[in-house]
Order: sequence, then structure tokens, then C-alpha cells
Amino acid sequence: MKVRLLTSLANRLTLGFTLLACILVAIMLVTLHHSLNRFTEDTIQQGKQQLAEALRAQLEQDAQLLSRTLSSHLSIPLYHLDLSAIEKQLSLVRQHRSLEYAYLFSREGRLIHDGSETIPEFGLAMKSLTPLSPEADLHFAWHGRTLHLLQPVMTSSQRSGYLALGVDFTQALTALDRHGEVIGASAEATSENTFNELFLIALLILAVTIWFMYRFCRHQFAPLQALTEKSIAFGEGDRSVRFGVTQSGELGLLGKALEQMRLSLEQSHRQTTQLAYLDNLTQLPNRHWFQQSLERLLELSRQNQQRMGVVFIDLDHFKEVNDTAGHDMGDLLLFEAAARLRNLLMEMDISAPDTEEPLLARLGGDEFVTLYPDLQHTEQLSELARRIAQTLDEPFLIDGRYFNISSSIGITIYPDDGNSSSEILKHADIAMYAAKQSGRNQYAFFSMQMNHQLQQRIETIQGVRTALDQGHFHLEYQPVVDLSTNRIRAAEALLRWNHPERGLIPPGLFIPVIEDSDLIEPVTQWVAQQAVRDLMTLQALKPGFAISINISGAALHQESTRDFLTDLKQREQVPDYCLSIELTETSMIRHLDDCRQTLKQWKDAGMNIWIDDFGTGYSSLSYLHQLPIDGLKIDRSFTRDLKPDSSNSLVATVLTLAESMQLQVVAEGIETDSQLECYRRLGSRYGQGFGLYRPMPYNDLKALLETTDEVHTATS
Amino acid sequence: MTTPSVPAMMTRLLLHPTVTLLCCLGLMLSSLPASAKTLVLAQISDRPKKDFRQLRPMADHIQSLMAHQGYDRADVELFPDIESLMSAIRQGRVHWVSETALTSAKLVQAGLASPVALKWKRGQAEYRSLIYVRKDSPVETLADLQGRRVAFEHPNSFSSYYLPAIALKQAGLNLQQLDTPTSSVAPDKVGYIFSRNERNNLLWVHKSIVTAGSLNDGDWQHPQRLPESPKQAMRIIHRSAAFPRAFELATSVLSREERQALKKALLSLSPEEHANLLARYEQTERLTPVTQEHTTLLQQLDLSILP
Repeated sequence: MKVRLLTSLANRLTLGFTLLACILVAIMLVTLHHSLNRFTEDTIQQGKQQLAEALRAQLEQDAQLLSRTLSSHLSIPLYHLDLSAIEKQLSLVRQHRSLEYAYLFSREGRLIHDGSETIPEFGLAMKSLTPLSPEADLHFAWHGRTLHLLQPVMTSSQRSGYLALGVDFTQALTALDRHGEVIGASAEATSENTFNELFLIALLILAVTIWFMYRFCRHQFAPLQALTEKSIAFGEGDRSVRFGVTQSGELGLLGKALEQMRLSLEQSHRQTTQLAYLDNLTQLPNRHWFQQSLERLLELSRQNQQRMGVVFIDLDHFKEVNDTAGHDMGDLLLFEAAARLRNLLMEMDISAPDTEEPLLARLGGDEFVTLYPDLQHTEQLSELARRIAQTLDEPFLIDGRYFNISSSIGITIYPDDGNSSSEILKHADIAMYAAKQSGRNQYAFFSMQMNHQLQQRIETIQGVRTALDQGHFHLEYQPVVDLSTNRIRAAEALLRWNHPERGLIPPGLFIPVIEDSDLIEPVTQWVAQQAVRDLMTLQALKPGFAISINISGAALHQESTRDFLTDLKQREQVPDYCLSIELTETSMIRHLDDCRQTLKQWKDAGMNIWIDDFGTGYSSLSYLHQLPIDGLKIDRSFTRDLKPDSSNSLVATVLTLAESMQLQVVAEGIETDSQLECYRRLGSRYGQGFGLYRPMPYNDLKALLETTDEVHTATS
Repeated sequence: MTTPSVPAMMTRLLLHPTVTLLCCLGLMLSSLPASAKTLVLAQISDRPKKDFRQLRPMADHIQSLMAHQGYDRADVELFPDIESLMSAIRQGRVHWVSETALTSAKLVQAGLASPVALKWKRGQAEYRSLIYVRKDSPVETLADLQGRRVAFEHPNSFSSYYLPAIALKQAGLNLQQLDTPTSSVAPDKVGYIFSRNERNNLLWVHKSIVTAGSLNDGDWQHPQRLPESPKQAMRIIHRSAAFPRAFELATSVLSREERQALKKALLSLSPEEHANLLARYEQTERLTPVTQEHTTLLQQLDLSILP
């Protein structure tokens, strides 16, 4: 309490003033008391003195009157020396106790009578009895409290003697003293009372002054106090605080300064918040903020026993946009995608129950996530996912160019798929991957099995790295046969992973994983190097033999891969048209311009370009014309559908088209003689499939090329 | 009527109008019928107030006893000197006088009064005159007083003027009256001065203002009348013979019957029965009949020696 009292400036000032005022008032009171006492003492003293003087004058007068009267009465008795008459006179006055003596002296100054019966001192000299003498012409004198008088006694205008009186006025003067003491006491009491009154008045004035000072200080420091409290509140996080002070002067300036500081701080805080919580590009909440919101909303849902959906959105092929159109375009696309998602959520009125804000966050890259609070049934989430997919499926017009992307959406539901925010989000991520795995442009609800798949995928990715390092990969080659001559014309390099523990892993398990990961580049490069090395060996054995490698869409759009292949061909001095690149339709079509550029470079470098799995993807005749393509590989599905006794018009049309466009054709997936026969009949030049040759290790291929004269039939 | 502090001389002066008034009143009353007569008792006094108080009850009493003579009231008149008293008697204003031997003798010898009773004033039937000096005085006899001062009490005093003066004359000394106690005396004479009262008389001697003093033995022996220590310092050098203390006198104003009536009335007072009355009457013990000796003394007393 004491510390709190003293920490306030107003209180300190008030206290200081109070102390000062108290000291001043105390000094004043002490001085006043002193002066009052002195004044009283002086007044009493003077009063007593004057009173004493007045009394003495009066007493002198009375005594003189007495002595004159007495002397006149003694005049005749003295003349007659009538001692008894004199005694009578003197004894009369001597009855007064105050009369110390009454002497009657002769003209010669000898004692005639002292008022006693026998006058024992008769004849004594005057000077031995009274301090006065007629020579000094002194009629009276005070000795202490006794008044001595010497009065000539006149008889017939002659001085016949002297009357000497000694009057003791002790009683009167004592009475005067007592009176003086009473007056003094009374005056002192009055003085004391006066001082007490003054003291009380001073105290009252002091109290009033202090009170006014306190009020004044409080009033003066109230704005400062308010500013202090606001500062404290602001410091404690109250963002509604404003430091505006209406007063002018220093406090006004201080208020303004604080307000400016607050604004700067707010701005800085906003920036920091944005940095910390907002995604710079889309201005959407970032992962950090989202996780906090998610935890908050999970807690809310837990309290309200509600379900909540978490929708994890990943843009398909966004990486390709970045790779082909540049990061600026990618950013613009992300911005547009975020805007679309936001609008959609607002349109669907999906917002956080506490903030009424659409719950959309960008977790990084092309990943977005949104929430569906108070979920009633799963169909709502499906609807949301469909709408999202629909929205993002619309082509994006950016800088005059259209971009087509799709989205893979993973969905989790609290509390079904997890309790913690991290678990829920992780599972949503997994579901999204699952959706992506199942062919993109899809949505998937999380299931525990996905978790398992993801585990496998992770293991796979880890395994691929190990395989690259430790040489667990190897290539197998599936020969391509000239159907007219039955000679092996080329081979397609196929990646094989011989896992030390799991054995041979089917390509379908790990190839998609590699394609979706950043391992595609090193794997592609490894395959290319291995294939070129094998090719060069085989070239010595069989000049003009060609080997083709598969380049996935992800690798196709990488400049590094493009240049790597070009450089590799030149460095290894691979003969022209011996190294072929196989691409899928879809991978080419997605970024046609970039693809054309790449293909042109490769073509110029002397590589052949083939379209793999032709007929399954997004096909357009125009790109066949636009791109520098050497041939088509008819997808095995067409081969499966071949009917010996039908026209097989689709394959025939493709063959006709290729012929008209001067494109070579390889029929894939030939497993039976009838299929071989069909293609021969339809005029396909090349064939590939288990029915001709299975994929084989390099040594087998080499041996095959050495030993056989490349005559092979499906029946053999 | 005046304060006690007023000197006797002034009192006497002031008394004159009163006395005159009373005299006139007496004249008026005397002309009235017997049924309205006032019995007047007179005395020479320089202390009228005290003496009036002392005489009045006795005057009233005797008047009551003399009512049959037609006196229905009584009055007291005090006179400053013998002359005024004698004048008043001659005018018929005074019926009865109470005085000491000297005044009584003067009145008797003037034929103005005759004694009717002996007054035992202050308990004394008779008294003596004393002459005294200080014990350390060289004066042994009266003759030694020549060229010295003697204090008498009062010119009307029998015991303290007439008797000592007679004694001094008989001792062959000549008297010289002095104005003041300190006046010088002729070497061949004895100077005298009146001390007015016995106390002054003693003190004057004691303080050596005068060499000798004179008082009667009544005053001398009375314990309260004189201060003791001065008195002890005195030596008496002369004692006179005994003389009657005081007399009651009937004036010539009274008729024979009235004189007898007054005498009878006075002598009727018993010392026991009227003790209070007598005591108030100048401490009189009793009143006794006048003897022939007394009458002779009054008639033959030599007044010539007085100035």
C-alpha cells in the first residue's frame, strides 16, 4: 500500500506539498506561539508595571493625604507638646497594620513621639529612624514596598516639627502582584486559547489546502494517470486503447507521441502478425495461424460435442506451372486459386463460429486447407470437395495465358479421424495424397489404410534413395521388333528395383512414387546414363541399334533434365537417332509451349521423340502436328482390344493417321500371335510385347543380339 | 459632635455657640411655670462629650427625685472655665454643680453655691497632691526646683495645680507661668506649665521636658491611668495633706427647699442600690453628707495665690 501510494506522481507531489506546508505551518505556528507569548508577557509586564506605578502613585497620594491630614492634626498638640494627644493621633493611624511607623519629630529633628505609650525612643535623631531627612527636601521615598514620608508640621506658618510615616504597602502590592498574576494567568489563558484557535484554523486551512492540492494534483495528473493506465492496458494486450488526449501542452504532446507510438507499434505488430501468421502471397492465414485456429476450433467442437471437417487441398500439376511458366506465374495462379477458394467459402457461408471469417489457410506451396465446423453429415464435406474441385478445375487466365490445373482433396473428420490438431491435419494430408495417388482431380476421405499406404510410400521413397546410392536399380530392356523382318530394331529401357530384402519390387509400386517426388530427376538421370552406357556398348555390336528411355511429365518440364540429356548425348557421342525419348500424351499436352521447346532441343540434338501409351491420354491431333514427334507407341489397351475378325478401325485409323503424318508406329502389348498377325495385317511396322520379347537384362539383350539373327516369331 | 482627634482648645472654641444657645434656652425655661422647670447640672470641662455622658444619667435621676419641686426635665451644662460657670449661675441657669475642691471653693467664696454632699469621685473620699521627679534627677527637695520647670495638670485642678503651687510657695519658691514646656525659666523662679492631663505630666518628666510633675495620689495609684514603666522611674519628693475629693453644690439659683430637696435626693442614693448609677457618675462610690470641716475648708481656702 505504502509503495503503491508513493509510486503515484500525484501522490508524491501531494505528499511533498503536504510536508512542505506542514513544515511552513509548523514554523509559522512556532513563531506565532513565540510572538504571542512574548506579546502576552510584555503586555502583562507593562500592565503590571503601569498598574504598579498607578497604584504607587495612588498610594503616594493617599499616604501624602494621610500625612498632611495627620500633620495638621498634630500641629497644635505639637505646639503644646501634648504627648497624650499626639499619642492618640498617632496610635489611631498606627492601628493600621500597614503603617510601619509614625514618628513625630521636633523642629530640630529629635523624636517627640512614636505613638507608643511610653515613647522609649524619645529624643532619637531623625536619621536613625527614617531614611528621609528635611535637608534633602524629599517628601517621600520608596524603600522596597515601604513608602517613607516626611511631612513638615506647620504651626502658624512656622515649621514646628516633622511627621515621618512609613507605610508598608506590601499587602497592596502583593495584592497587585496577585492581581497581576491573575491577569497574567488570564492573559496567558486567553493567549493559549487564541493560539489554540489559530492552531485549529491553521490546521483547517492546512487540511483544506492539502485537500485542494490533492485534488489539483489529481486533476493535473489525471490525463497522465489515464495515459499510464492506457499504456498498462495496451501493454497487457488491450488493442482497443487510444492515447488521444484532448489537452494541450506537454500532456497533449505526450498523448500524441504515445498515440503515434501505438500506431507504429500496431502497424509493426500487424506486419509481424502478417509475417508470423499470414501468408505473404495470398494474405491467407499461414500454417502457424491455422494450427492455432484448428486447436481452438477443435476445443470448441469438443466442448460443444460437434464434428468438424478438415479439407486439405493440393493443386495438381502446380509444380509444372512453376517449372514451365515461371514462379511469377505460379504465384499469380496461387493468388487466384486462393481468391476462388475464399469466395467459394463465403458463398457457401462456411466460416469459423468465433470469428465469422472464412477458414482458409495456405499451408505452403500449393497446399490449402479449410475447415467445416459443426458438421452435420459427411455429404456436406463431399459437396464442399466437389465445389472446390469444380472451382479449381476452371482454367486460370493469367497474363493472357490459360492454365489448367486440378486439385486433389483429402478430408478428415474430427473426432472420427483423430483428436489432436496435428493428427487431424496429418491425416488430411494423407487423404489428399491418397486422392492424388488415385489419379488426381479427386477427393478422398481419410481411412486408416491410407495411413498404411503412406507408410509404404515413405518407405519407398527412402528405399529409392538407398537404391540409387547402393546400386539396387538396374535396367531391363524390352526389344522392339520390326514386324516385317522380325529383327530387333530397338529396345525400351525399363527401370527395375531389386530390393535386397523384398526382392524385385513391381514397377507399378515405386514408379508413381518417384514421379511424384523430387527423386524423379536423379532417377531419370541415372536411367539415362545407364541406358546410354549400355547403348554405346551395343552400338559396337550392332550399329544403329536404338534404345528408348521414358521421361515422366515431371522430368520433362525440368530444364536440368532437358539439358542433361542433350549434354549426355553429346558427351557420350551417341549416334543420332539411336537415343529415343518416350513421353506420355498427358505430360506433353499440359504445358505445350515448354514441351515444344524441350522436344525441339532434343530433336535438334539428334534424339527421337516417341509418344508413349498413345490413345489413353488427352489427345489432340494438332499437337501431333505441332510437336517434332517421330513416332507413336499404340497403348497396350488397343492391342488387348484387337479382334482378329473385325476391322479394328480405331487402330487402323491411328496407323493411317501416323502414316499420313509420316510418323512411325510401335504397337505395344503384343502378347499373342493373333495380335501380332493383326498388326502385321494392319500395317504396323514395329511391335513390342511379351509375345515378342519379355524385358530382359542387358547381358541377355546383348547375348540375344549377338547370337540371334533377330528372327523371332510369336510362336517360337 | 466633633471627632476625638480635634484638640481640646478647638473644642472649647466650638462649644461657645452651643453654650450660648443653652443659656438662652435656660433663660426661656426659667421664666416658665413650675410645671415646666429644667434641673441643670453643670461642670467645668474640656472634655464635654465624655463628661456629658457621665453626668446625664445622674441628672435625669435626681430630676426624677425632685419632680415634686416642679422639675420635669434635667439637663447637663458644661463650661470651659470658672468665669462662664459663675456667669451662668448668676444668670440663674445652673442649679447644681459637681466639682472638685478648688472650683467648689471659688463658687462658695463667691456666694454662688453651697456644698450639699461629698462626692467619692473615683472611689476617693479624699486625696493628696504628689510632686515627683525622675529617679536619676538631682532634685531632692522642693527647693531644688528653683530655676527648673514643673508641670501642673490644669489651671482648674485642685490636686495638680492649687495644692502643689501652695506647696512650692510654702517652700519659699516663686512661680513663673511658661508658654510652652520648653520655655526657659528665670533662675530664681520655678517655671510651670499645664500638661492638660496626667499622662502628659508623667511623660514630660520622664522625657526630661520638665524637671518635676504634679499629680494626685488617686491618679498615681490607679493602675491604668498612667503607664507603669515611666511611673517606676519616678521618685516622689512631696506629698500634701489629704483633701476632700469632690463636692456636690447647690447654686444660689435654688430655693432653700429646692436645696434641701437636692441634698436629700443626692444623699438618698445608696452605694449598693444605685451602684451602677453612681459608677457611671464619674466612678463615684458614694455620696456622703458634708461635714463642717469641709464647709470651713471651702470657705477658707486661700485662692489668692492663684494667678
